[in-house]
Amino acid sequence: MNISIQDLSHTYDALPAPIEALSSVSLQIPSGQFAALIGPSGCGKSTVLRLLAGLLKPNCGMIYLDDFPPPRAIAQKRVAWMAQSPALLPWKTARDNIELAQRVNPQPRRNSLSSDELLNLVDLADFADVYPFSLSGGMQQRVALARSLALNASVWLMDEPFASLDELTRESLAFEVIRLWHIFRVTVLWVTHNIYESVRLADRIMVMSPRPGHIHADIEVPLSRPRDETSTEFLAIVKQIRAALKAE
Amino acid sequence: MNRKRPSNSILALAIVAPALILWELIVRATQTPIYILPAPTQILSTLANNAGSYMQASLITLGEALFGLALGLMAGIGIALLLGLWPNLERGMMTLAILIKSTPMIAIAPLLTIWLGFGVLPKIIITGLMTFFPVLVNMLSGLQSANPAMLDTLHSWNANRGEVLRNVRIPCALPYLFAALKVSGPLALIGAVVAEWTGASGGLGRIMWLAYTNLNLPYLFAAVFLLAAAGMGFYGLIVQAEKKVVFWTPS
Repeated sequence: MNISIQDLSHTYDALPAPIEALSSVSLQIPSGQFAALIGPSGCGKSTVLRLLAGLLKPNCGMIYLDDFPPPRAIAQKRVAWMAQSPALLPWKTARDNIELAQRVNPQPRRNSLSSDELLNLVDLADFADVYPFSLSGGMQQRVALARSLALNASVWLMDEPFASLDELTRESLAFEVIRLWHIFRVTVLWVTHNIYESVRLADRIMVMSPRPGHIHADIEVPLSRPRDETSTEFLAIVKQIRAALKAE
Repeated sequence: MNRKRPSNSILALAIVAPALILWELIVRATQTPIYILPAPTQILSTLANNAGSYMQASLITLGEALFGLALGLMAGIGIALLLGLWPNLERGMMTLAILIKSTPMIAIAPLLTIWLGFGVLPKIIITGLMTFFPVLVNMLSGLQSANPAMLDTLHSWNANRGEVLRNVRIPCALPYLFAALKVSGPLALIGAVVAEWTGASGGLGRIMWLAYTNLNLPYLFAAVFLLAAAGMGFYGLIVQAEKKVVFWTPS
């Protein structure tokens, strides 16, 4: 699914004065690309994702997912949105949480994997009947990941999904995501404020600047996977992004 | 973590028993007449000597309290769910609820007795009216304070209002509902007794009224003891049920 954003602006009603979160953002992400959006906190990157996920309505500008505006794509559950909080329902087991994603607003004509297959994919087959409060933070995010996969969506919108986890867990989950992305062949828009993480994962990195948020640099990552983080090419791109973030 | 703690009932007994003993000693030492304050032993022996009639009266009052509480729960939960689905109704509905809440039940109870007779129905209605407000207010704020991250997740699937209510808002409101029950449960007993006081053919309130008009204080206090015990029982059952139902919250 292509993502196309043209001249998108968004302002939050706030006191004492409205906050201009985004100012004429335009971007195109071709189908199947793994794109990252990086920037300091408060630069509006989460707002971009919430607008794409239909959780906010834009003040002005156009958003298209293939040829549909977000509400149409959401109605068909073509978009999976994942945030920093796993937001699992604590009164449901891992399996029930995953199945809920399929039961709510069901799309019977699109066959998705079963909850057991999904739990296998995220390596949690033994924890199907466990409640979230008995799972570690990393495991909870794996369940949330499986729940997103259950939608069988064509776009994954990931809003710093592993930011609250420790470094090691975050890295191993990021590799999981790459593995799953190879299986499902979807378009990914990954929001982060971690430079290494963005270069490790993405085909392309868009650097955002705050007040009001806009895209300030668009950097291709022409490295093959798996990526060697100590290679000079890798470090050159890290340097390039750091420079872009500093320049604003 | 697993250090053994004395059970709650033993702890309660350890507080109540000395108080009763002190009460007994004071009454005996000052030779307080029985029509002013009977000693606990006199109250308990009254209770034992009339166990049959107290049992019968307790069953009536407990039944009224339970049915009234069920009525109040259904009304409170029902209205809260309605307002959860259609928030626009909230102001009008809450005005009405506050109107009912602020009408003194002691004034309505005799009216209901005149209209509906000395049977159990007016008691159930009064108890329902008294218990529904805490349920409504708590349930509504529970429905409204559902976890935003969970709501966002459901919205990102384009869930409809009913799906959001059933899967997120109602479970999030359950701890609030139990908080309301802890208020409304003991309140149901008061409602039933107050209603009986204004005219009844049976029940603990009836016994209390008869004892009061005859200045038969041991009879009055025996009923009070039973009500206190029933209130504790209600509360204990609610706490147990809460642990089972809302198993995911840290205790």
